[in-house]
Amino acid sequence: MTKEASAADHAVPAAHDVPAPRGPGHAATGYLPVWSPRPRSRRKAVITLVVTVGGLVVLLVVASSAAVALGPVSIPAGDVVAILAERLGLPMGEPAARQELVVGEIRLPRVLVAVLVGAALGTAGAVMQALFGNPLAEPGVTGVSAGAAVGAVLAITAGAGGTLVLPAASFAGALLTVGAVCGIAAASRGRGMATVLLVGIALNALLGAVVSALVANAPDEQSLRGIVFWLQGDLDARTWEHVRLTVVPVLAGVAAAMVFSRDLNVMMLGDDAARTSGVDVARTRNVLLALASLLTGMAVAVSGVIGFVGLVAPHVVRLITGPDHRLLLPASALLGAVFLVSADTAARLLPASVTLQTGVVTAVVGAPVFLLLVLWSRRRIS
Amino acid sequence: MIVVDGLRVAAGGSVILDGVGLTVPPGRMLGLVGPNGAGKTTLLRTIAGLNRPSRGRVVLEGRPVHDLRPRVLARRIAYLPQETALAFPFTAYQVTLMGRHPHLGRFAVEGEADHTAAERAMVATGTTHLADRGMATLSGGERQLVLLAKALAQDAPVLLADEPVSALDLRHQLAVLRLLRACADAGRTVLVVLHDLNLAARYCTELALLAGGRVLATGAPAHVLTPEYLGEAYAVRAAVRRDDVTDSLIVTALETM
Repeated sequence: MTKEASAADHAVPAAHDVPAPRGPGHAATGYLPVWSPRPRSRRKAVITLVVTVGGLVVLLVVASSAAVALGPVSIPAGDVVAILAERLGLPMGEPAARQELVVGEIRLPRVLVAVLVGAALGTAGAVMQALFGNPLAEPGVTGVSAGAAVGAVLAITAGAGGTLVLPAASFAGALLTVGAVCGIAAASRGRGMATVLLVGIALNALLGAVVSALVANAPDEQSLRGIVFWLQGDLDARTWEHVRLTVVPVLAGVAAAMVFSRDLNVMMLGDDAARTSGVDVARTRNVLLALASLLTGMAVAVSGVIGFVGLVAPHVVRLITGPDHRLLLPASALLGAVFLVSADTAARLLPASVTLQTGVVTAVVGAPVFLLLVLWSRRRIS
Repeated sequence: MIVVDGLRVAAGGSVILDGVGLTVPPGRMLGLVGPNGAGKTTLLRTIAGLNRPSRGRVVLEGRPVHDLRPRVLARRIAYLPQETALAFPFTAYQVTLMGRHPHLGRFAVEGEADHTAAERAMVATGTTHLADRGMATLSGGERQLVLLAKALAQDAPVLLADEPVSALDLRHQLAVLRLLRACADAGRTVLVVLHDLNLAARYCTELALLAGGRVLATGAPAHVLTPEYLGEAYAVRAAVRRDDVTDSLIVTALETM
């Protein structure tokens, strides 16, 4: 039977023709238990989940392996495998010490930081887009990135170097901003996300001005260069220290956000419909706002402000697999990781005469991709 | 059984409902009618737990509605809002399945029973052919039917609907109201805000006429829809007679008073 024909069969609602019978089996539901051909959606959803998540995991493994193998110092694939195997406690031959240093102490931590930051930004972006009901929201929409930037820039101009001082200062800035946003959101109870959005715009403007003032008054060329680099976002010289710093908070944050994915779906119907469908809208929203902001703050703290990952990754996933957050959140985390690892590898592979930071590459690649996607999806809908 | 007792709701300094009392037993379909600004939507929202009363209470099966957690409440009361915005392209089936949310634990996935409930709801509302369509691609009437399917899939003994037919064409108006009435006949409690008095008289088992934040009259349509009450509520002179075809009351507004 063609789709049109079966559609015509169901065009007349069953309850119109026959009043619902009273009976023990029907009293609870109150309408006719006529059997229907099961909508295709259900099996499709399972297949989409398996294919998407599986595919993205494979993609992430491939991208990360390539990132570890590729670079200005060329290392044979066999040696890379041997070094990685040794790190995992499986001794396989004796790679050269220099190669082991490059792979194990330089490339591997950098790739892992890229994976964690990409996953954090992808998840935070998907959550923010859902909370604001707007596919153009990005992780920094509440001003948390700008807050982290103020913290980092303050640390740089104060001359505080160190692997840990900069992330700590940056994360402190992010935390203060999250606190301010959540405090104001709680104080304006019931006025919803429009208030949070306005607070975010105001904070972004205010903190951006603070950063500009700090840049203008930078004590020397050295710190000015440091600030500019940090503001664009870069993964250069990330160490195992940075991996250790982020791995638990990011993985925990991504997992915690996923716990609320069905609530997020229902919240897309609007506040009233969500609450009467059993979602504690105000509480869920506050928890997720704090979670997404903390993930963003964590990412910015170790990588600087890297744009477009949190905007593009959820957008691409939504276009391909639809808006179900049970799929959207893990897929956005994985795609964000793939995107950032690939962009960072591209940044590293450029000839030595050209320096592009990771954040610049994500924007250079992300902006046109995003534009094409938007135009394509608009055409498909109209 | 829903009991509304001495309800007073204020918003922004003005009192919207004052001293509203109602009792709706299971198996009834109560139509909330009245002029614009009478407080119909506010009353429905307060019963749904969306507005908090400053005085009085709503009691459902002996328990105050405003003491129940959203998840527990949603298993007892389903609510169909006047308008639903949907920012992202969910399909009709996905939306219907969202009605199962209060029945599922945080880490649970929809099981056989949930899919069956969603399918039954789509069959009942005649929307199975829309299952895989995106909500944004549906007409207003189709979207309303899908949201009604979602409310049915919620499988709550109480169903609240805020002007469910105001944006619909004749055919869809009948479809939705017949379905709501079928739910009441099968033992649910149905409360529905309606603007069209003729449809209200035809499908509701009883009516509550609101005016100025108070219940002016309540009872069978023939008791509520009288020229005197209508004149008081709407400030119009109205004629009320019985329709030969449907055997229900017909109200014709003649002139403003």
